[in-house]
Amino acid sequence: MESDNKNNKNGTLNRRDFLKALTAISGAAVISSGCTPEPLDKLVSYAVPPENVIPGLANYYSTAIPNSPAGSSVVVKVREGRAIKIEGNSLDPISQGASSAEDQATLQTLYDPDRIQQPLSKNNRNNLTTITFVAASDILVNKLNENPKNPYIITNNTTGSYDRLLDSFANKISAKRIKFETFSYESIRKANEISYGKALIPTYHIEDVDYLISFGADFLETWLSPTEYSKKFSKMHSLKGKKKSKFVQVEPKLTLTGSKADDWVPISPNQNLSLVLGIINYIKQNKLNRNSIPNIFDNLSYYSLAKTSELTGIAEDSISKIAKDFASSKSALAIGGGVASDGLDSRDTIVAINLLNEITGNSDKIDFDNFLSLSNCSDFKEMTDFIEKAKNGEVDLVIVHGANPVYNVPKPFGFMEAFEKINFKVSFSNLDDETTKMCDLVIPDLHPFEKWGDYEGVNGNLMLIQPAMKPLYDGLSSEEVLVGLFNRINSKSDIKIDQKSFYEYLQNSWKALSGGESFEAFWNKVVKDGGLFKKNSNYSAAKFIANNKIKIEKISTEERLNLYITPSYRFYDGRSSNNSWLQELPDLLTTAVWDSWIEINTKLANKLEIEEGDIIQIESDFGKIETQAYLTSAIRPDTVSISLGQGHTAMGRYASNRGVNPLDLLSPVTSNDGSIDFTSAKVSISKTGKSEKFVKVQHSFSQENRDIAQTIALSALTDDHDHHHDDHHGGHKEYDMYREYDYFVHKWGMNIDLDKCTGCGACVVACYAENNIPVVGKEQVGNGRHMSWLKLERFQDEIKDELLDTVRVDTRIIPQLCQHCENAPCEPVCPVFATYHNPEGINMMVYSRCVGTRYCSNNCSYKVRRFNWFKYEWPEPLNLQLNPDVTVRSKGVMEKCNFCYHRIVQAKDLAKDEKRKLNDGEVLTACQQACSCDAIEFGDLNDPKSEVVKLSKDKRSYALLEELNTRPSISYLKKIEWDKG
Amino acid sequence: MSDFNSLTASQKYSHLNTTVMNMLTKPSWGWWTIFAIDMLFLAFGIYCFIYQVYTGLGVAGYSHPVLWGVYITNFVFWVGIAHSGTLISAVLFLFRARFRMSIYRIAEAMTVFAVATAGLFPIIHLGRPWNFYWLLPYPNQRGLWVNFDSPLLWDVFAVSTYATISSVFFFIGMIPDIAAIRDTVVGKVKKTFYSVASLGWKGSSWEWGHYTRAYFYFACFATPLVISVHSVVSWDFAMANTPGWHTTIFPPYFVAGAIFSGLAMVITLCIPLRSIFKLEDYITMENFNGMSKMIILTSSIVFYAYLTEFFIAWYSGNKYEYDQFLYRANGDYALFYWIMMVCNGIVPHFLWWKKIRENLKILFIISLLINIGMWFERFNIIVISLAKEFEPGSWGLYKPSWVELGITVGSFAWFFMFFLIFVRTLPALSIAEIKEILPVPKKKQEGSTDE
Repeated sequence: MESDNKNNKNGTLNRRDFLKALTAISGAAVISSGCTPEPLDKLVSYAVPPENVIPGLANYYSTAIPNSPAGSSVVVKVREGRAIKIEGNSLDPISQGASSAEDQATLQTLYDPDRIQQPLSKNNRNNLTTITFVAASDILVNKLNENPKNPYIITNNTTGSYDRLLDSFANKISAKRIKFETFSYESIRKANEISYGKALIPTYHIEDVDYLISFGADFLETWLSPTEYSKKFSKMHSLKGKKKSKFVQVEPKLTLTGSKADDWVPISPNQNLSLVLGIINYIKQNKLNRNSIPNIFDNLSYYSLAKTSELTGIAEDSISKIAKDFASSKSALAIGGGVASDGLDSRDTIVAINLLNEITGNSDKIDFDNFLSLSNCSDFKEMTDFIEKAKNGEVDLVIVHGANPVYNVPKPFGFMEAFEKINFKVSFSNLDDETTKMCDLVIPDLHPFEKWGDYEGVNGNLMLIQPAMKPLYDGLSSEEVLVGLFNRINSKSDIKIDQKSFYEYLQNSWKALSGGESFEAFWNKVVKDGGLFKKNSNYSAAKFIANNKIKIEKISTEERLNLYITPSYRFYDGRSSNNSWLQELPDLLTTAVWDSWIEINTKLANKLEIEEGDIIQIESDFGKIETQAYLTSAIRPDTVSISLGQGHTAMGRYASNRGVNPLDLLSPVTSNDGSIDFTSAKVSISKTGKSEKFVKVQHSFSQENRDIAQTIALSALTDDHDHHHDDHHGGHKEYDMYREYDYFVHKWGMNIDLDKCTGCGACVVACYAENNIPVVGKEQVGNGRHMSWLKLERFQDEIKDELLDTVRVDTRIIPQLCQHCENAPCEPVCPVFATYHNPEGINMMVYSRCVGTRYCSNNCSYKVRRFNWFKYEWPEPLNLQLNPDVTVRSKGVMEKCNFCYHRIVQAKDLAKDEKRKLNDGEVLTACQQACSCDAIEFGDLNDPKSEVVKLSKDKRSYALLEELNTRPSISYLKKIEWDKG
Repeated sequence: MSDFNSLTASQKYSHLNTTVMNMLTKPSWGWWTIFAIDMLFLAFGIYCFIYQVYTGLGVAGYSHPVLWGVYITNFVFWVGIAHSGTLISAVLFLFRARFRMSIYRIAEAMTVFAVATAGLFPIIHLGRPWNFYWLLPYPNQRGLWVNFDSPLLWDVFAVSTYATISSVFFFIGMIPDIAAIRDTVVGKVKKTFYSVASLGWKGSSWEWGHYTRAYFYFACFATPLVISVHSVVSWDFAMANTPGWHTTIFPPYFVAGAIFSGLAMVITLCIPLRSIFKLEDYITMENFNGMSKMIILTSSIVFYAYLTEFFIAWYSGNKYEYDQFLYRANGDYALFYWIMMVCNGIVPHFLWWKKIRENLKILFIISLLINIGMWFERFNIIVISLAKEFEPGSWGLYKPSWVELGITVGSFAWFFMFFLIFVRTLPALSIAEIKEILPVPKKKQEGSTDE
């Protein structure tokens, strides 16, 4: 009291009053901050900080995505307990640090808003209701203890410990196992058994060949191990000194893989065998073979050039040229198999391809030591047997995990009807897909990033799956559930599992691998590395042993159109469809999103008066579907094509009721080796009279002679004249009015090799993941509001060949992102400095400063800026994936690529902490890191020794729209073209 | 109505006063109906804007790469309309053009209201309109400044300067007339309003001396603005590198276009006003003849600019320009292009015939067509150029949405709201200046007339 008076008298503020005032002020501040446009959510701090988690610093865990076809070893970036980004594991010899678009999008599968959170059981009223895991396993054990007749376990291609566990489980309950994969490459396996005595799917060593011919194998998209083959292809196809290998793709419809071919040969569907035999016959007649030609095929001489040309629709010259080139190349390889060559004679086609490799002395590139675990898939025959049995009511119980046969087994086989007849159906899926919808008990599995496991995609290359984060919803992995209930099952066989958990079971199976080390040290190492990878790349060459006669069945030619179904590099066989990133990733060749379409040859469409966007009815003998038309010249007029992966009736909000499933059109006839015959459908198409806007990202596919995606002839590159090469980054300084920028320390730049880029889209999805790019949906993409910072543009200029009266489609792909111009047109026009040039040469965007005049985008010559038209939402829990290092933009502001500036800052901080300079190649942008063909190089243009400077001085280097003198920091390397003729 | 020409000079003076006063009497139900309909459209426009702010700019039809559309079209259109007011009042004042006297007040009012309408659009079109004040350079706690390199900032200055000067000019010109109204009007509210607005004008010769000099200086001051405002607005486009925008012809072309459209708008407003308020004695064929002749002149300039653009696109050998202009005449928006060509280039030349000039019905239709043509001119420049720029992979089309059309209609309602209030509250004819051209009454009758 006294002191108060004293203070008052003096008129000064005492500590108490000061604090009072402070409280009042900060209270007011808190209240007023509530009026900001983006209210902060409730903030909760750690009471007890978890171990190893330092807020703001990421943890990285190696794990694997056990997905077909070959699995991917990945490193998961975890921030504050949430997985936010994945990168390829650079220790893995298969992916070598690269990842595919599908891999990148796995994060959205983890945070899928439609994930089943708790077990479900069918109640009396036939509704699925939530139960506990304990109750669910009790129900399952009781059912199993009732001695069900002919139980079945249908899974995808499982490998490693889980596969062993399932085997013992199947033994225990005397169940049959079906490892079902839509693309199981059964014909390759069967053919190799004939050719080499090994029923395996080998690794093809394409990386060192001079000439590669692929009979419809889409190895850059889905075939066998696409990430691995992208790497290998990049190595094989890149310029080596003055030489470049040639790649020829034979297929009825241009695919992404075909678009990278130096020669694209459109062939009548189902005629691959004829072509291969024609080539072999030509080699034989002209004695171009190196090894003797075993007399396997009866009437080889029937395939004269003229006959082959007639059957395949390929000009005689082309066939003889392929044969000559193939035989004369020092090292050549022919590959095939997969959907394209699946047909009645698919196995024989592969045998013929093997024969072609053998007689030219190229069998040594086929490696059976590193065979794919895909070789262990069940024959499709087992599936048809199952369907037969189930139809007759002979199957009482079925367990499904990782497979969605209701969707993936072509409808005419009657899987659904058969499945319905089974008494008790269990699904271990965490998505409510078509198969799960029909099940009586659903026990949701965990995502691979939440559980333990292992995967062996290629023989001997072991990947370990470790939980990178706590399960999103309390739950158990299917493996744990099986281990938990294993010993509770009464069974004739007395197989028991000694381990209490799957984790112990897993460790137990790895014990044998530890060698001399202590297991703990070994285990820690493999967990850290993400597996036990194969280091030895030696293999023994395959020996050709076939000598049985193969009779060639004539394939009837029909008037109706051939349906060519392509696997999707976005959705694979439809398993990744409930993924908004992949749905919004434009299909490269059509740039269509969120839907299905049927590709029709332009000439045919003109004849039928079909226009783009018309709804077309496609009818085969076994079904009919309706979808939108897309016209292209890059498909044969006798063929129409639909991509696989859409047409789900269930599975979640992004997948269901979208597009069509072309498998519904196939005939219930398998090919002569028993596998699904993807080419069996003959269809007729008709207009329905309806038409809808065809939603695609790019509207103009012609370059309009503007040299956006440039090429250079191989001869121009290899001649000895030393071209004077302009340094693009010097620009035309004499025209510049303004002072040069000073880049004191760094000047960041990028180089993109158009010759290497395959357009696989991994970079695009990686950019979405890294930079919190919103997904806008089909309608908004249709309105031109696609938000991707990195856009793969593709140009198809049609070049008419007067001589042959054909149209050659020249496909070029160019990744478009902010060019970070030195003379950036966007910078001076912004009235509020929301976009500015930073001292490291990056054209920065300050979101909070932007008022949204959009002048910058109007003035951008490359049109790489994106505007936030709305406040975009991430449906929970997808928001957990957001990268905390990158601002989530609010509505009304502009955004664009900033060269992953947060990554640059991070690398600089690290270098500073370690008191050293930043090394070249230390900063990797998200797109660069994901690229499986090493097309993107990023670095400091101020550092004369950096890789990016070297590349920018390359003969092939050019700047986009150079004549505008914007002086981009990105240089492109021209695609190399073989000289014509 | 009495035969005006037969009246004595003194009667003419009082006739003018009564005519103006009659316009300010209690509005009829007709006026109220029009005003109510107008407010309805305005309310819809406001609703559209609120909806847009709340939901996001995505409700407009924008589509990459066309990120400017109807809003900027409206902005340029209204700024253009605003031009002829100052031209008629200031430039023609300096040139002593007699035909301006009876229409300049209407033109000035139109200018002020058009600027008030135009000024809304740069804010409406913003992604975050609530932050529009970030474009104003004033010392602020954000520690941020504006970018004087940006043409958009120049716009801020150009338009705000023009708005200020034209309002002041408008107001100054009205002072003697307001004083005249003050002297006759009854009712306390009205009396107070006009008293305050007349700034205590007494009509002394000392006042007149200063007044006329001030008016002259303001006219001199406003004249360069006629050229500067639209030149600056044209720089929004000319300074950008977009093919179809990046051209040095834009400033004169835009200024001519602005005067052209402004004159058409004055005619559009004057013809109905003249017949409703029976102003035939004051707004005469001389006025329409004069304006029509200026329309012919400006139309020719604009048409010449259209052709020059084409010629340069061909002559420059610049493939981007070449493709752009081919696309304008021949592409997705060709219909709008030809609407513009016909309305602005062909239709006005019917005014070479005096019969057409003096047939007010036809003149009215022609003026409407010119307004439409000039709106599409801006639309074509903005949208067609953006739709096909350098990079073919990014090309796309734009279609306005109902929200944009709603706001556009609302902007017309906003403009007419001001105009409707204006004709009922302020002198639409300049009493003082018209009296300058009327014969002066004899001295002994001086006492009976006002002022």
